[in-house]
Amino acid sequence: MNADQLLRDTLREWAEETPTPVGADLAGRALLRRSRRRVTGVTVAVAAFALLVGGVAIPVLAESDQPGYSGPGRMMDNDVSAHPGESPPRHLIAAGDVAVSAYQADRKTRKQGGAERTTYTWYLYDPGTQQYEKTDWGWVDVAPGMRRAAVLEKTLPASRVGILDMTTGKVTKWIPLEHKAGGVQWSPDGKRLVVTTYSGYPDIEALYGGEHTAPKRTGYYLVDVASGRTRYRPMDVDDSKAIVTSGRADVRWNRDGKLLLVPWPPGGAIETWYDLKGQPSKKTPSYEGWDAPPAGLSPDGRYYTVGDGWTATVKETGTHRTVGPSSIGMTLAWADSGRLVRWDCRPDHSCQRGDNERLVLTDPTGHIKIPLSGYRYSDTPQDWDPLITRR
Amino acid sequence: MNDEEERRFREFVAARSPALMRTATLLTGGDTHAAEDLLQTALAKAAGRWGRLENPEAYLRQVLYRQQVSLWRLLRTRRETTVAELPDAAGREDTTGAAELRIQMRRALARLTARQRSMLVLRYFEDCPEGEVAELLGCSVGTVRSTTHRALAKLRKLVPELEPGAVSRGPEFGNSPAEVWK
Repeated sequence: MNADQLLRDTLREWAEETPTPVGADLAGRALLRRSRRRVTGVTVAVAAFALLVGGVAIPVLAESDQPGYSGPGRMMDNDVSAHPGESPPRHLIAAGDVAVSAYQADRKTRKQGGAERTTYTWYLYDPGTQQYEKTDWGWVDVAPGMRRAAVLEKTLPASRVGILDMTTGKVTKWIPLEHKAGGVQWSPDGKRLVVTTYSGYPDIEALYGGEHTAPKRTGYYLVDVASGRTRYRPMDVDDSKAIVTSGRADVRWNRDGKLLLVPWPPGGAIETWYDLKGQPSKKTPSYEGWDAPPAGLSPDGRYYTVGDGWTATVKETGTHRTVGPSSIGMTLAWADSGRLVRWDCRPDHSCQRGDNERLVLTDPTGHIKIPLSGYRYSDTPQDWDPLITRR
Repeated sequence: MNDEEERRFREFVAARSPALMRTATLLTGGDTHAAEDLLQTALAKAAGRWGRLENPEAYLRQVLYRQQVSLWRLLRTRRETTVAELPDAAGREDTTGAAELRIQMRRALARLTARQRSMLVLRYFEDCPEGEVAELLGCSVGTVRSTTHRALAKLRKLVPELEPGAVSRGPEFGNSPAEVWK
């Protein structure tokens, strides 16, 4: 056999072994997407609010990983690690500069007297096994670079914060806290932590004025990780205008690590930015805030994303022109200046946040999409919430 | 799309999707998940202009090939990529080693870039002339030749048995496109 013939035979044999498409009714799915596209187009013509209407205008993906389906499909190289058959993922999900470093799963909500207490389990990426491993931590945040994690012990609130070496799985340093903590976040430079303190278990929602009240934020620590030095600032929550009081109101860093976002600060504002000395900042970071999509501004500043908390739209910074189709799934992070990681709605289903959506890598227009994970479904074992970290 | 067009579209998909899926699978280097995504994309596009398509199959194949190259441009995979599990050579009846060689070839094909693999699928699976490949992928004939050359050179590097002498040359060997095996 010559080389030409060998190549021809290889291709022909490989083609003949190809299974029929996994999902049934390819034609029906294609037609359904056309129908969705038309509806979106009409809506855009009717009102500018169409940009906030859910629904994916450009259909691209097939739903080949329905619950229960498992297959060998995966894609890995130095740039992208995708496992479209896994939900929640067992192996690394990553693209460009970012990765899913951990996720919450096994979420359970218990109702009692008008209050809802939610518990969950953290799964953390283990570089040794190259898989996500179940942990007993009450809260986790992974430092940029994905070598260290800050951890809080169960049950929240915890009286110390640990610095975990992700390679060995061991805590290399414990930093004691006088005020008990329910949340922690690394600064963008990976040198400091902001630790939010609470009066009780933070993941409780309660009707305002009801029998139960949610525990409240009491303040926050700024922690210098190298020295272990802490600085505490009391910071109560003013949620008097809220119908539902939610316990968790973590303080978090802005993108350049110079400011801290405090949701529901005393005084009735929705949010206030403080500098690291604790003074309210007159300057508000652009495209950041409590309701802003997590992706925000692209690394090169050319694009930004705006959203309604459920869906997001990519816009050009210079012209504020919407790029690509109307609103899309929530934008989570920029893999680099030209690519986004975001949630993508299952084409043949109506989508709500947390349901019928999977992580995809997409260009800013949303025309080209690469599935990164399987679909997540609320109130099922496929329910999970990723923590995305610069790697 | 009216009812009659929809009926014709459904009939077309039912009849042609297995063949299109085979092409898509080759283009994705054996990743059937990615292949199904690719085919679904192409079908959705075809559905959008169904009434205006003179040759739906040709249009779908063009979308398949071009979309695949675009996807991999997004992925920037000039790097090597691991994709679907490849079958084991064990258990096959072919005892001459050719079956094992074809398994090696699959592994090597899966490690080509999407553009390189697309060229080879078009030239060796679809038997398209260079001009047709160029038209389909929207590039010059020179690009087709150079990309095919590089693809085959990389295959030869990945599968040493393809080196001249390791595999006997057939009568057509040495002519385009086979001359680039050298």
